[in-house]
Amino acid sequence: MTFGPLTLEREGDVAVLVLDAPPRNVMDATFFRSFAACVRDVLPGLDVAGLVVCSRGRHFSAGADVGQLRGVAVPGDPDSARALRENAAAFTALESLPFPTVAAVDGACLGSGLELALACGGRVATPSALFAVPETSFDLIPGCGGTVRLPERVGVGAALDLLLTGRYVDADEALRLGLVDALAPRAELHAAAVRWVFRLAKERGRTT
Amino acid sequence: MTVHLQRDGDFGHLVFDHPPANTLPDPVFVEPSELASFLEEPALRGVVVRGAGRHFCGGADIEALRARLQDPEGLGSALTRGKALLRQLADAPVPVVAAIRGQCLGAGLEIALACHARVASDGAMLGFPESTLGLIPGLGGSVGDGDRVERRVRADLLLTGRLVGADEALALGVVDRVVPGSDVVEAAEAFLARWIDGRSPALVRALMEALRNARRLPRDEALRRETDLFLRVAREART
Repeated sequence: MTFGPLTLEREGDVAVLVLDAPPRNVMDATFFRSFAACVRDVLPGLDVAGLVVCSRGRHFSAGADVGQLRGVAVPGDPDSARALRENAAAFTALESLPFPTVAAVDGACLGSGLELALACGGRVATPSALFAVPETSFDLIPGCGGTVRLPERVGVGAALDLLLTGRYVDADEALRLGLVDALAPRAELHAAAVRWVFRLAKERGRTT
Repeated sequence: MTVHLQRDGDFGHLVFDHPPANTLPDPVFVEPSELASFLEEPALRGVVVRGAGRHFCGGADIEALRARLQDPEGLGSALTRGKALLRQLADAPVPVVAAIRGQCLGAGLEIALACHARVASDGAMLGFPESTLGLIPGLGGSVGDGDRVERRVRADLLLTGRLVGADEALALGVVDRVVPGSDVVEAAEAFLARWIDGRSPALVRALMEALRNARRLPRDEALRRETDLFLRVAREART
């Protein structure tokens, strides 16, 4: 099933949501609209053990279209504010799905791309994955939950450091910081993400 | 007063000044309203917390503390107000960095951990020696408030009371950077500069507000306000 630049597939008990606009998987207005529709209308009804969010091509996502992001914040325009709230709400809806979600990250995972990964219940990455929240370099702050979800994973101090410097974090540091949960070579990334889904499912089974 | 609040250009300095080890005679180490107005100064861009002389802060003055144990109620309320001071630092509208040299013990370490980052000189000694004195920390050191010290590290430091050097503190995640020699204040200012240079004051303050919301507000509310802050910042960026 396709939703604009997204493809939803089924692999046995696991659903796979593919960011399918390679190579950069830029999260523009079309992406957000399609993503919101998928998360709101289709994913909650799936009878699956969990969901893997991954990308086609070399990069997970280069994040939002900065020009468009600035453009939507038109002073006094209620539509722009509504669009932003809907984007943020879609990430929260992903987080609230009734099954575990895991991001499988290869290549660049920047800005809103990282916010998307953070809205998943777990993150598995390749050794060549790169993470950053560069929003402040564009005179912006994250707008899809990054300021809430990033410190939950890495603590306030490290979150502040990543947010204010916009620096790139490689996979090893991301693992050390708690930004990702496990690393796997590219050829095994998908299988590792699926394993992580079942691991989270088991944990859910224990706590509920 | 054993603590001075000073302004040096963009940065404010909170200085423990009670030689030789800058111990604290009172958990309420600075007047809360004075700290509040110091942190709220509109042109302030960052704060360095440091000690005068060779040490950061040697913790509570044990003699003064023992004397106050005669009045447990009074001491309890002072500790509560002391914890509120640490919260003021953690919730500051600008980044706060501790510049640690010499002793950083007990309440000193609790204060350092309330800061957003810690820069230590290679000769610094850090720890929670309270248990060796038959006490436990009184300013939240056993709990932590959003700092990233792992539970097992915290338990180890609390239960053994052992002091760790700067390099071990770095490896344990208790400090963020170690610098050689004694110019740790300069290094802390450089750490702050790395955070704020090229970022507008309003942007940094919006980010600090978002992170404060994330810690203090119900999650849904913090998420909602992030969008408000984003819109405010984006509008400023357009003009």
